[in-house]
Amino acid sequence: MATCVQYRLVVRDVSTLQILHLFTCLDQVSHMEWSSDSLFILCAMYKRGLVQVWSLEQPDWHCKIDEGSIGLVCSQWSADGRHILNTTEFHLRITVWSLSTKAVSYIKYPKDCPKGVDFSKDGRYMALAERRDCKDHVSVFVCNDWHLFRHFETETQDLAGLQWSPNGCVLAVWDSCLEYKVLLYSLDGRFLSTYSAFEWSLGIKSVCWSPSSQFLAIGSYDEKVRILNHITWKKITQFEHPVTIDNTKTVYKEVERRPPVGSDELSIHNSGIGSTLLNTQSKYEICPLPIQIPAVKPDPDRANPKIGVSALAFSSDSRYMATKNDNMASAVWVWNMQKLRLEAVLEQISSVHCFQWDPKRPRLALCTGNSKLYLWSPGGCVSVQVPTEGTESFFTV
Amino acid sequence: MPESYLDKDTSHCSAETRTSPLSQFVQSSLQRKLYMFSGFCTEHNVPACLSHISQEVSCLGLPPVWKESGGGSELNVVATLNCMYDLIQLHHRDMRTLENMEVEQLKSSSTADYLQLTATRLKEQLEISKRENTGLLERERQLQVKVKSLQNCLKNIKEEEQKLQSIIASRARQYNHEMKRKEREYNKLKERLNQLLVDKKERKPAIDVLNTIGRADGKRSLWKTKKTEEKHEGEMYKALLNNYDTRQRELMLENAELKKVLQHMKKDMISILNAGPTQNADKHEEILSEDEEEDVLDSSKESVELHCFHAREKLTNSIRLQWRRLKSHVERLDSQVSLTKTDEGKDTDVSRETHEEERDRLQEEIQHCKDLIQTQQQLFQVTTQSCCQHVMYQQLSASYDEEAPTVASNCWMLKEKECLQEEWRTLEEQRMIFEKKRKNFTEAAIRLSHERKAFEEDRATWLKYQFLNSNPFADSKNPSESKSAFPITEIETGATLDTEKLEQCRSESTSSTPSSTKPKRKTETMEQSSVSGENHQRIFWKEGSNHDGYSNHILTDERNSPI
Repeated sequence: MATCVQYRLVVRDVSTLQILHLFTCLDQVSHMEWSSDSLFILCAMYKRGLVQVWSLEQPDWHCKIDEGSIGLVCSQWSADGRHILNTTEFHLRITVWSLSTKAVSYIKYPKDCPKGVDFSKDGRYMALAERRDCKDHVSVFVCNDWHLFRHFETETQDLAGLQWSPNGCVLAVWDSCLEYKVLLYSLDGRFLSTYSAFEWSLGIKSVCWSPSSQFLAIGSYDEKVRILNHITWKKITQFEHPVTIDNTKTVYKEVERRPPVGSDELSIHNSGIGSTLLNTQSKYEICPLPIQIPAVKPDPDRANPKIGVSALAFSSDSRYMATKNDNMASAVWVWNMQKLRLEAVLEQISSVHCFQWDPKRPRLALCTGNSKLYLWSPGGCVSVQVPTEGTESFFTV
Repeated sequence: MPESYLDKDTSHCSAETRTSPLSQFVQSSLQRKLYMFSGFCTEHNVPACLSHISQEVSCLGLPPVWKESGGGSELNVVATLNCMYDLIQLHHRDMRTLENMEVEQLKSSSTADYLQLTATRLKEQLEISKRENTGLLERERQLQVKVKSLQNCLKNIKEEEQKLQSIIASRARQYNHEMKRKEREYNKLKERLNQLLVDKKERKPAIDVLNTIGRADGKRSLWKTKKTEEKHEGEMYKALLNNYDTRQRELMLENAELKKVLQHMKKDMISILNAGPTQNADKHEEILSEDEEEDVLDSSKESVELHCFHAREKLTNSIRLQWRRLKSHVERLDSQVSLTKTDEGKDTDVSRETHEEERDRLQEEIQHCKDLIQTQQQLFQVTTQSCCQHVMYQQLSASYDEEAPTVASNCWMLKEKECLQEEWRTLEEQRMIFEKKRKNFTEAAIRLSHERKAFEEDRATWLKYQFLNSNPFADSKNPSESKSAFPITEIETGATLDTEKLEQCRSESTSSTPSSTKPKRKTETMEQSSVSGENHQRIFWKEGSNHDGYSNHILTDERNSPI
């Protein structure tokens, strides 16, 4: 497990949390990323335009990529773990640095959109959103040799993101929030289907594929998640996030309490790591239905309102899906995909920052910006204290 | 006299009252009356008439015409004339009043007509106005409804408009935001450009690696050639095809499973429906036959995996049909249940009693039916037994060439059959007896013939002896008698045996042949004839059938009897 603090990169052992390596970067690290084979970590410093790569096998090995005056906005690994893609300032170009050959490739006209680059799961292909002549295009590259494989125009107004399906055969492309449109393209560039739920209102906020490639979940600003199926690319169901819930199995509500000193026995769900006396204990309570989730009405005068489903994630077996509705930021909704209904709602004290599923089991972990980690599984809910110095904690494995 | 005056009056009157037709009519009637009353006064009843007239006049209020004190039948001419004139005046007055009244009546009738007309007209007007009113009310109602709907529409449109306005507002916000962002970026770009133009020191992008690291998969990188491009294409298509293959396979499996499930469902539904109402037995048979056809089709096409569109459609249609039937059946049951529930809900006590009564009645019926069934079973058994016996007799007696009658007819002719069977048995017995008799008779006949032969020989020898030893004896009859006596005794001995046998036979036989004791005394010729007759008869008997033989047997007995 790697954590970055300021300019230091700390690598720990997951089981013992013992520090294995300690690396120092030249500047404050803006972005840190593990390579796909977990042998390298890149630390990007956007201000300086520098990327430093560290090896875990050989701590002495070092690599530094300097983008120079052209600047650096984004840096990421390629799927094979040997190339680094640096997006220059103003999205002028993407530089592909190869660590194995020291070769450089340039990709022109990348689009400045939230998710313009996506690698297929097997790492063979990379899809890139481009904008040429005021029109959106998608380029598919073969990651082997960075050879432009397919290049086609999309019918989007303003392409906001693209994502490969886990089986690598379908590319989902969606428009910005001003237009609700999802386009589906086959691997060879053929247009498969399009889906549009409504017009004019603010549209898609987040998109997620299920690991089995059977479902495509689209979260939108109208607080609904629509699920498309991979056979007909039509909607099979939609999930709503109403304020009053009465159709779910269980609602877990996080309850905080400050126990008196020296009464560890009272706290039931405690990982038992030391120095927890001063921290607040929290546990989950099951609330009776119906229940009201606290919702915050977004500021009407601001763009990108804090409303709508912003985060979607499927469990590894595609049985569960977790969503987060921005105007009920402290709640995470878990949906049962087999029965297509709400399974559980986790209500936290503070707003949820991020959540992720266990890659093997149907277990969801979420964090809310405090030092606790919350885990949900079909069996129950647990809150775990994580010993960190910082206030924010996020998962990176 | 009065006629002429009256005529004058009428003419006078007619001149005056020409206008009123009624008065003319009256006048004509008057004339007629005149005619009628011309016989009022005759020469004989003058005083009576006078007195009558004077009375009448006085009744009318006119001065008296005739004074009784006046001598005799003198008529005061002046007074009469005055009276007449008064009467005429009265008449005129009456006519005038009549005319007036007529006129008034006309007037009133015309006013009445006029009023009636106006009344009808007004009624019609009223009707029309009522109709108009209802029409107007109807229109008003419709307009109100329209108004409501339009109001709703207006509300909806207002809401939509508000929604659209909010959408527009949000979109405008987004656009503004984007624009600002783009402007910021543009500005940054401009600054950067300026900076770059100004800045001389340009840092070039560079990579500083300690040592290159091998590729992730350990292979060496390839040159970019056409071959590699083609290889990439090939790989891509391979990946796609694999995906399609797996998907298709999964879908096929799913399809097959679903079809199986549908088939099972269909079968279950059919079984449920068959178990339910039995009225649609024919339909079900039809369905079953259809399904059997389908099953045959399916089994034959199973290897082809039921790709045929028609087969699929057939399956889905049949399932839909079954489902509809099942639904209707369930609805029927539900309605029945609800009906019974409502019936129960009315009177629980009464229903209980009725239930009990019904139950008792049903139990009685059940018992009765059971008894009936038992008796019928017994009868059936008996008839089957009799049938078996009957069948056996049929087999034995070839004469009966009838077809096997049905059980019902057997039951009906049972008694007859039994009688016939008994008769048959007796007849058989008799036949056996007669067979025995016949045998005995043949033996006796054989013996008799032998004896006769011996007797003939003896007779011949005795005759010879006699003739040879013929002497003039006195009684010639004696030898005849003695002759006859000798053979008689001999014959008697032989015949008695026969007669005894015959008598025995006769006594044994239960037939209705008249059996009279045969006289012991027989003449030769008779015996002979009888014997020959017997023989003759026996021959016939032997040749004839049983029945004939029996009858012949009887005949022989009869013939024998008078002997």
